[in-house]
Amino acid sequence: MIKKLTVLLLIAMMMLSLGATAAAQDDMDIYVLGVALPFTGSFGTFGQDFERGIDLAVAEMNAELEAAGSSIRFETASADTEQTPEGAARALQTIVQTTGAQVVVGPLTTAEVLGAKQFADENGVVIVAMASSGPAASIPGDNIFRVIYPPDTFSSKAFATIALERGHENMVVLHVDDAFGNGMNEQFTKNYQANGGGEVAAFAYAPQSTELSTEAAAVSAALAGFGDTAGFFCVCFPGAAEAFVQVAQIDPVLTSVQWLGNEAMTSDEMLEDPGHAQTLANANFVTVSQSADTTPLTPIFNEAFMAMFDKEPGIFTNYAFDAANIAMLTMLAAGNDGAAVKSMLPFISNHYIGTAVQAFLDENGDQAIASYGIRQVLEDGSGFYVIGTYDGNNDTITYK
Amino acid sequence: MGGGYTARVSTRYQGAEIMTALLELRNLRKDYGGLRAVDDVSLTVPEGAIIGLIGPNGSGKSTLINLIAGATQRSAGRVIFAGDDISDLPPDAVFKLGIARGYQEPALYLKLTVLDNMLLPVKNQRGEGPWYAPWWRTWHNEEAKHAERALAVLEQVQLLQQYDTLASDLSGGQMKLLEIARSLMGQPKLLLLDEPTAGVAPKLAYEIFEQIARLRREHGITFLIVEHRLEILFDFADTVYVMHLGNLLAEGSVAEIANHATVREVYFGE
Amino acid sequence: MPPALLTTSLVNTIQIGSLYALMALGITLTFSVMKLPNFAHAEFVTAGAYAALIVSLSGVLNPLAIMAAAFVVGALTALISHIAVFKPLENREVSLYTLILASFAVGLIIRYILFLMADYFNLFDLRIGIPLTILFREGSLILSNLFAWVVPTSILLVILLTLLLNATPLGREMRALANNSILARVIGIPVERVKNYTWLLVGGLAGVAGALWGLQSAVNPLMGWAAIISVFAAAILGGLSSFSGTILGAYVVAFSENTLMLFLNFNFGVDLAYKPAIPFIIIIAVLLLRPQGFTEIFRRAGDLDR
Repeated sequence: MIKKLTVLLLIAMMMLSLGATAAAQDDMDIYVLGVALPFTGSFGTFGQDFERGIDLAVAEMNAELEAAGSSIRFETASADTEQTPEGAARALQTIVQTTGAQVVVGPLTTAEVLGAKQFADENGVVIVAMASSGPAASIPGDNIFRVIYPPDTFSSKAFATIALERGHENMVVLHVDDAFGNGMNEQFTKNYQANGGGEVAAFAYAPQSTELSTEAAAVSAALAGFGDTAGFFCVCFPGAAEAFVQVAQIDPVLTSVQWLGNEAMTSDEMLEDPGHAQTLANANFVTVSQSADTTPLTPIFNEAFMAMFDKEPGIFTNYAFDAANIAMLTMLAAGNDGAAVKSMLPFISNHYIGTAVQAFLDENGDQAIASYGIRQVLEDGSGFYVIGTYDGNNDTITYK
Repeated sequence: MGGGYTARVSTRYQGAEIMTALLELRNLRKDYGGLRAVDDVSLTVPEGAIIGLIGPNGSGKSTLINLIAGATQRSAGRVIFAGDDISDLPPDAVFKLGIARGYQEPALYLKLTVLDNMLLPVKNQRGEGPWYAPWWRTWHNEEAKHAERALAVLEQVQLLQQYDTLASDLSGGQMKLLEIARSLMGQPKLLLLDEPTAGVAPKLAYEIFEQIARLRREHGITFLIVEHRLEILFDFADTVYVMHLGNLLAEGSVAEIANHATVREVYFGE
Repeated sequence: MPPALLTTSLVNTIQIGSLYALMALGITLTFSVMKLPNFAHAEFVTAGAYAALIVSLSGVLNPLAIMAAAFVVGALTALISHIAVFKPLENREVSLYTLILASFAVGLIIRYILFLMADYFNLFDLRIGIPLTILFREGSLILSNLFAWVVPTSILLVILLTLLLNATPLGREMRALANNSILARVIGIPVERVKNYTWLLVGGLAGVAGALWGLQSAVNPLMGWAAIISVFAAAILGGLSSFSGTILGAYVVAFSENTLMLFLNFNFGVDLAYKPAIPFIIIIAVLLLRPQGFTEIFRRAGDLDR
């Protein structure tokens, strides 16, 4: 009996508190901005940091709207994609069905974006992704927009060019077995071989792997088979990247070749382990990833982020901030309606310069201006520094 | 309450060494749904006696044993052991008080050796604890003492040769003997045996009862034995109780029972 | 398949097989003594790994101290799981399926507690701070300090566990419980106490395995869960009751995932991404063709046959 009463009391309290917020915002137009990101799994830290970037954008926007006397306010509703395609679909469904959100920022990886695609297309919900780059999601006319970060069709060219510049006659690729990893491998191989590169031996590892000694042995054997002139390209997720370097650091072949790799290899966790940092330093590790460009907004964003969360924004967090801004600006212009947002988002995006680069979308709804930073690990392994930039639109590398 | 029942000790044993009732059942009843398996049974087991319990299949003998051992919950009545009411105790508590039992199908650890089977019931072993178990020195002497006793008991029941054999490799009769021997390790006062000779060759069956008689003689252990082989039981039992349809039909010495008209009628079909 | 690859893969087989053995023995012990196929075992491993990580981050880099901390935390996690969940369920005499589901739930709860903790203190994908060095090198045979810790520790612990089980009164009671738990109660074995000790032992071993696994890869809340299918495959190969069978099973699984996988990759182009399918194939094949696993190969010798 007491149990029942407690439950009833709790329900009553919940309803009261809901009613209270509803009353306070009675005269407001609430636009819900969905946030679907991986909050758990090896990308969990990314997801959580991205959410902070989005929260900052929403807070700034609401402050401006209030100051301007607007009745519109943005609210976020977030759900965990669990870093899987199925999880992303569930997250999107949860957000849309519980809040009626028309626009969702996220998810993170291409596999998650593709997982959420069907629900978004069928329900007229617009997805604004900030870091998905796999060419597999470059589809014209769908409800998916991938702003700020360009597809890997560009960066794969830069990786291929660097590999050739470094004189690698053959390449060994280790990549995650998902839309992003497979796409990067295909594009890289195509570009590398089109420009005079030799054989490419590719090994895929299962996305959930946490232990990669088998893969390291296979990569090592393939490199040994090619001889001294081969290079190694690692397209790994965080977690798997550390696990791979952990076993690779005592492999005589892997420690004697040069490495290229995606940005997951440049995480703080990686450099915190001295053995890992040293391995990357010895391998002259180079990555082509987020833009080295800055805009007048970049330092403002960094300061505001520090002020709000008392920590520095992580890698790509400003992209999440920019994506949220593009989504909100479009909603302000077109209204809280998926179809209108879909129709108008390219126009708004093409008039937006955020914290990194000019946003500009191609016919697939993907970022078309491709600007990257090329980073190399410091000799003592203590950090990464920018050695150059890559302009994907003109396919030119500029070293500093 | 102890005084109350000592006064009712069967007069038959007066003048002998046996003076007190070790076990007393008072109006014990067990119902399974509508079926009354044990109906208002009262009996007394004097200390140091060998008591036989006979009756046709389904007469409630095994249920009675289970009720005493705490394996079955009574419907009514009381079980008094050594002056204490044990009616509601769980089997392990009953065991601790000194009532051990043997089963129709010998209940042994078949994957363990004979000696292991013997050592398991020993109470309060030092090496049982996780802090002592890894340090051989702390419990080795004690273990050696227990093992010595176990081997001595095994020798009594002629199983010494097989101490390192897996229990599953023993013959049916040997298993029965091991079961009895194991119950001795807990230094029981009363042993409840359910058909100790079932499935055992006649010669070994007789040996089992000789062991029982010796254990009573040498250790003063009291026995309550359910048995179908009356020819053997009658050679050893002091008193025999006859059960029929859950009721106690008769009680008496072997000679009395063997000549009891009603018993012969229901039991031997005469 | 080049000889260097064969050598490396065999070294990996031994190293990873030893870790699998350490984890799988706990599963076999839980199943034999407690009659519970415990999927939360994965999280005992992870909890131990996090204990090891936190100790190493606090500046203690003595591997023995790290493993001791992992043992204690793993053991306590297991005991708490037993007292809070498994024991009350057993007292209600629930079915095996309920217990299996409960073990999934316990694992999930521990996993997400670890997630919360890892998130709060930012402890994702970190490594236990013992640097990796090469101890021995002869041609393509390379043995690291990690190998020197993992393999002897695992073998030593397996030997100690076998001794404890077969040569002490506590072990005798565990075997008795595994053999016939109803009888155990009747003849006065302190069943609940023995179960508590068994959980401590199982959790402790899992914790140490977690510490060693965290040296091998990186520590994250999913690490134990990622390994559990391989570990269950090893235990199922051991028929869930035989110690020697489980150890052999662990090496068979590790061999299939390393040497056999690389052989298939190198000679027949089978994608390495199929590696996670191997333990599933083993489990299905064993259950279909030989449900008793290796138990019949190793009769007797103190095994935990039911």
